[in-house]
Amino acid sequence: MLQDFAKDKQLGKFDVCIAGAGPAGITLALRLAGKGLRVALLEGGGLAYSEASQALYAVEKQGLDLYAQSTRLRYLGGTSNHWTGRCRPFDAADFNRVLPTGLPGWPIAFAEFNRYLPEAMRILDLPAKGFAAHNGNLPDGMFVADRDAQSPPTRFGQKYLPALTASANLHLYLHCNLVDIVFDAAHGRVQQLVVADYAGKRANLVAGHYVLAMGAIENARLLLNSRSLQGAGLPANGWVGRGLMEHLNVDLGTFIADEALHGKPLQFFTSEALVQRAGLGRGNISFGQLDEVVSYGRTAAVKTFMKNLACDLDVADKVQFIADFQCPGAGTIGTLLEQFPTARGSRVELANERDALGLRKARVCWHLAAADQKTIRQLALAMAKSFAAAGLGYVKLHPAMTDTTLPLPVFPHAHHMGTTRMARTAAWGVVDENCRMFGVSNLYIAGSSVFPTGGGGNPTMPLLQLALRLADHLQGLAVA
Amino acid sequence: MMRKHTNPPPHEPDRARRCVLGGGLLLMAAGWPTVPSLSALPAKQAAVTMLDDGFVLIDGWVLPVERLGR
Repeated sequence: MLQDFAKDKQLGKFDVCIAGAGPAGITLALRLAGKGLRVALLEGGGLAYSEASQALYAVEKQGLDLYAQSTRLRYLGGTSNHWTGRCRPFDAADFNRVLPTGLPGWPIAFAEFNRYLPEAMRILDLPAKGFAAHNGNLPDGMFVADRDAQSPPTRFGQKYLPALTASANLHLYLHCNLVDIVFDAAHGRVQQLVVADYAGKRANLVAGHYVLAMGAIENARLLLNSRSLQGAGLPANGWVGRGLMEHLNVDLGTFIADEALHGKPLQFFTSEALVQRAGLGRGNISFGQLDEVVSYGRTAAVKTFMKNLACDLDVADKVQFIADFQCPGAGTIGTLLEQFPTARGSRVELANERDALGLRKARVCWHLAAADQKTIRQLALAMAKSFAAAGLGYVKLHPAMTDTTLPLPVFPHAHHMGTTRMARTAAWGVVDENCRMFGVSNLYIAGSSVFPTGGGGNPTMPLLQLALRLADHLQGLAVA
Repeated sequence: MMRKHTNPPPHEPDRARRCVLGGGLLLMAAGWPTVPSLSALPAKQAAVTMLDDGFVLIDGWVLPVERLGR
């Protein structure tokens, strides 16, 4: 059932209320409704992009720029609306990490997590053949071939809107913004959620269990904004917003490859021998050949720059041949590297400025820890040597890879993780093994904000695995 | 996948010149670092740093020592 909260303020009572209709929220809602639970799914935006909704994603920034407003999308389907679709599964090594920053890793076993992989793959429309490597390992054992699978990509709002509206016991509220989480006097239970439309008109929504599924920045921001939680002294409070992680997209440099490799993929992943020996982060290093320049990211920026420049100078026809150039085997090197969580480094906190709904905006503080800088520089040099030793070609490193006085050229991947991290005890995180907030009996968190480590893979599929696992847990509670 | 490097290494003029004329022009226009011509290294007085494992760093290029001077 679909209801526009801007026009109709009637709210029902539900077994579970989920705030946030992105991949995690939609997956969880459909799963629970399919089991017969009465589910409310709150979407702050509408069915399509709007400036009013997107403006609520404005943040203050400190440190490196996470581009937190433009990389997220605030309407049905969330950021899946511009997701590129790459999926790489977490593996056992991600769950057996000793982090150099001293924080604990996953408190659950890999096998427990991984049993939800087939269902997550089905939801994401991944090919039946699964995850494939596109090239070989490097012979010195430092890097292995990376493997991935490509989702079409699945746009959750478009694909699952029919199922959301067809379900009799699922109520999807559009333009329904969560503005407060009201706890009881003992702070051991959520009593209700306060929601608002864009005119500021508010209503209260009551459910048996509540789930925050709004992404790593908003999950933390809404908890920090909760008026009844402030000053409550819950053990987990101190961790809300801390432990923020991204995947590091580093401009490692340029390369020239063997001509025989022209047009062939070159994607490598750190070997366990390498990262364990040196205490480095895991992840992908990709060689992008210039004649494969396509349509997204910084390559798109280059194309746009050239097009605008040519038009401004009225020489578009004269430079047309340049735009079609091919330089076999030459290109740039990018990464998707694990960032280590820290207790006092990267984090989401509250800014003083308020948004249009009266909530304090997020201040996103993104910094590289010493362990991250070490990861980048050591992997860059190791890859350059391995590439040459394998006879694939030669690498020219960015100057910052060998000169520690220069700032590292690091960009985000729009993978926000870790701000309500999962831990065995409240001393190290916000939620327990079942994604329930420590000390609160009926508040759960879904999405990559619960990741205690980010690994070297894309987070969308793993966060779905956790959403499916949470659905099983909540269904069990309802049955009990 | 693993194969002998059959085309000229980047310090040989043909290879370097082709890269400069092809990719370098576009990248320089966009403010990106260009692919250098290693044949021009002596004129540029390149920064050279010996690395371990038989590699040398020349203006950012990580090159096996055994390949130099051919």
